[in-house]
Amino acid sequence: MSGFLDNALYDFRYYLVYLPLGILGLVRWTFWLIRRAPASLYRPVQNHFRLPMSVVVPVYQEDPVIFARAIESWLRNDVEEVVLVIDVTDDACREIAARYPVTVIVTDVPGKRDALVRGWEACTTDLVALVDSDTIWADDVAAEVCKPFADPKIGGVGTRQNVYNPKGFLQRVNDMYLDYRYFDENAAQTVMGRAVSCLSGRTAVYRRELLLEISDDFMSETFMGVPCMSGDDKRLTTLILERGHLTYMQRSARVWSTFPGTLRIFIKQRLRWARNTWRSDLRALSRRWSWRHPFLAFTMIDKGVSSFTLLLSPAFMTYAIIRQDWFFVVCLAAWWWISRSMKILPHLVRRPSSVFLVPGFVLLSFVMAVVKICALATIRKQRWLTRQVSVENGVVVRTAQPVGTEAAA
Amino acid sequence: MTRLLRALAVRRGRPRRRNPRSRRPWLSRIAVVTLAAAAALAASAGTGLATPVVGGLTARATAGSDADAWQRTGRPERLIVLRPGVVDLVSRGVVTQYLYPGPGNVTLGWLAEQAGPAWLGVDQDGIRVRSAILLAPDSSLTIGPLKGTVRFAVGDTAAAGTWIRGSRATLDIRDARLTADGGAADSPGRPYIHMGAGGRLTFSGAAVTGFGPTAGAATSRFSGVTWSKGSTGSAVDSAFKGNGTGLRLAGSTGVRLRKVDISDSLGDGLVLDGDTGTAISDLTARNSAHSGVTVSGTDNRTLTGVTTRDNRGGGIRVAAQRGVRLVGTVSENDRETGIRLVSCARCTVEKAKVTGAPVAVAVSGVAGRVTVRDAELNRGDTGVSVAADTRGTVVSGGTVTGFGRGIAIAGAGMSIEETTVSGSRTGIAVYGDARQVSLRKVTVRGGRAGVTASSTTSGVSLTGVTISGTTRKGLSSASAGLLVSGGSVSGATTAVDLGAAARLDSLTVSGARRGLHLAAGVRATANGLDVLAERKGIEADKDARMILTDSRVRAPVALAGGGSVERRAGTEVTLPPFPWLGFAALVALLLAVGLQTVHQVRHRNTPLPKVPDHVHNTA
Repeated sequence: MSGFLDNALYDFRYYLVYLPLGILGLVRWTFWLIRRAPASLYRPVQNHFRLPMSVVVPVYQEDPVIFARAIESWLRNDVEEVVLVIDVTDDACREIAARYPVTVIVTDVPGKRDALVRGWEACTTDLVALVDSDTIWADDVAAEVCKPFADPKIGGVGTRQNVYNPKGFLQRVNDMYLDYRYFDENAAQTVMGRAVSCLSGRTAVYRRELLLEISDDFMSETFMGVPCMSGDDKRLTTLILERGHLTYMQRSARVWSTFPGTLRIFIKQRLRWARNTWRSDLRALSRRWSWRHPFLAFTMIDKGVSSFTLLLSPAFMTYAIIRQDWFFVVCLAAWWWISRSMKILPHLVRRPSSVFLVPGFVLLSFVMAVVKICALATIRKQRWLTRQVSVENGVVVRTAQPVGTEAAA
Repeated sequence: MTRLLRALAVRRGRPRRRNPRSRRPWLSRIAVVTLAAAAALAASAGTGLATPVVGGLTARATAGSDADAWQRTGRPERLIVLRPGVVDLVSRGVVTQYLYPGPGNVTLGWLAEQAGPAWLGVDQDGIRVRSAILLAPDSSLTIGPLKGTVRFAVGDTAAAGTWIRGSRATLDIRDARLTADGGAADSPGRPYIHMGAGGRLTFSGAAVTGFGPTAGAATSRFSGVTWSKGSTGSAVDSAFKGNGTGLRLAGSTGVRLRKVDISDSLGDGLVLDGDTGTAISDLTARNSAHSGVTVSGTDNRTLTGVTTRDNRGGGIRVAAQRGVRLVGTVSENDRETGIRLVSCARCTVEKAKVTGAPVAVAVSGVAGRVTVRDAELNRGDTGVSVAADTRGTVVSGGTVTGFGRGIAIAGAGMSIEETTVSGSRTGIAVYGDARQVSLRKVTVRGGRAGVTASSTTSGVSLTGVTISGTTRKGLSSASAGLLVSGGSVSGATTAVDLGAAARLDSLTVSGARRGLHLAAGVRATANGLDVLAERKGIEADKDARMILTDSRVRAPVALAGGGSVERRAGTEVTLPPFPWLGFAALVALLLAVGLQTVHQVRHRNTPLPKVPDHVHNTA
């Protein structure tokens, strides 16, 4: 027996020489493979099913060029109606909208949620596509997103997104994150139970009758007593799943959106998303419905845990640098590069030059892990990046008057 | 003859008698004269001499001794001789004035009022001392409490300087600031305070700045403040800044130093030389030009509560001592050495904490049996340095962290026990003429090399030594007859590198790329050796020979090289255990590639989306 123990300890020590982070790495990789294996089997729905569809777009201080191009892309699709819910203060976008055959609703209520509700209430079609004003569609998005709705259980369908003409490191990294999401997490969730955790608000299509059903819950969302302002897409997806419907990611429907190019805005945006994810996932995991979708629950737990485990790796690296264990430092750095490259292979196949951005991507992912932990620590905070609105005394209010307000008024 | 002429000169000087209370009513004058006469009578009664009772005659009787004192003290330009009941003002050897303070203690304030501005001036800033003050036996002078500063004039020559000296006298300085007034730092006439045999010198809440000559013959004898042979006293809650030598205890007895700060000394901070019964607590010597503290002249003493910091000549220096114990010494960022023991016998350094000194603890000189126990040594070139002429040094317990060489041994009969050396480029280096060096239960972590022994050394033995995490060599020995018993070496490029004959018993080697290396022609034996290596188990160069008994060697290439490895009695040579985690990582990578391939195949016919021309990211 002692001989056996002696050998076991000896072997354990031996393994640690090769892979000090081996056990943790093995666990993380196993989790990733559990996601990646079904994701690789993903296929978009192929049929000829079609339902009439409207596009609802909340508009607030959008870049005029992008906005115009987006409208044109929606109109090139075969949709019944494009409804633009434009903030009363936004004259520029109203002028642009006036150039196209679209329905314009002017709203003086601040906040995206109210604009969305006003939009889908104004529509009459079976399907409503909720779209961000900077999102450009491919020509066949409307046709593609209708296909999963052939199954009456499907309540919402998402699309595949990419960064619109990415430039610079951060936009390229955002493009990597998006590919990772649609080729990995969302694809696996679609295959394993057709329960996608979040149909991105940049373009998500829902049955209108369901939207009308959940309007009140959508508008009255609170977390720990604070009304929620952002995270509308996550909330809509959750409400659909909660009512027993399914969500699907139709990867053949492709859209492109603009993303921030500065680190400050990038981190702020990620912080807001992370807070939304924590709120939504923690609430979902505390409800019974999420456990009816075991794979969805698994991915939510995995995502939460990874925020913490990811930081162990740089901690080991720091320790190795302090100890001047350069052999280990080089091995770990190489492992980071290779392993992360393997995990974003779908993106690298699409854009091979991104392999040189992988080290930066790895370092940024450590920063993002810290951001996620900060988001958890400030989970009750409500802020928006691009909108001058906030929650005060439980009500969404404007925090600043944009330029040109007086003239518009 | 000269002495006689000087005495005559004093007599010819026609001293002027001045009653300090001349402006008082005549009744008071009578009372004072009567008291002085009574004091003179009392003094003469014991000897039976018929001493004149008139004050003026008594003063003349002291003139001869004033001349002696004037000559003995280096012929100062102005000398105030303080005696019980009388104060003599001696200008260039001539008594020019007598003052009668009455019996008992004299204050500096009273002297300043009575002596006149040429001797002691009073202004709005405090008191200016322009003369030397000699405290005769049984006299007593108090300085302070004072709001202002007592400024001692700095002379261009030693004779023009100011000072306070005395023996069998009492000097009490409390709540007062004493500074040198004017003059350069190397001026021979810098002031100083010196208490001789039988005297008592006390500081309480005092600050002494700029004292102590740094040039001239008196430099070594008169520091800023000196308790000389047979004197006693104390310094409590006091500061000594910018003095030549901060404090000197030369043969003093029972001096107490508590909450003392000695800084910016131009020589050593504190000199302890032949003193006895000194009690130190919370003393800091910092930023001295030489050593913070030097200790010599008294055997079998214990020194505690000393902190040295930023001293340019080292922290503490102990020279030619027996049985000295340094307990709890703290040295921070001292240059050269933190603690230096020169020619010390049976000396002990206990629980010292040294940080940032190039050499934390240096032991040298022909004496021996120095013990360094439970030290905490951090950052520098060498943690403990033992010179070649030293014997029997023991390092026991403690930690040595972040040095170029953790412990460097050139002396003989050295032993290291249960000490942890970490983060040092070389953990323990045995070199020079080191002989009979013993390492027991020592732990060496990190760095490039764990333990090295050069070819000029002999009798090196390691018992239960643990070496881990070194980047190059764990144990490297060219020392003939190296003996290793128990212990382990892990995580190095080469765990054990032998350049000379050695015997290895029950040694465990793991985590190294090469377990054991024998240089050409080396003979070594191993009993119970356990080697687990990443590449080579044992590599014996040409003509080298290794005899393994009851040993185990596991490595992809267990035995390598042109030498011979003889296996005896139950020795096992095998491949290492399979690296399952590394294999798992490889499988995971292959799975990722495989899954991507599956994906590619399944989507090989997916067309590119139809998009407007301005959208480029469509792949």
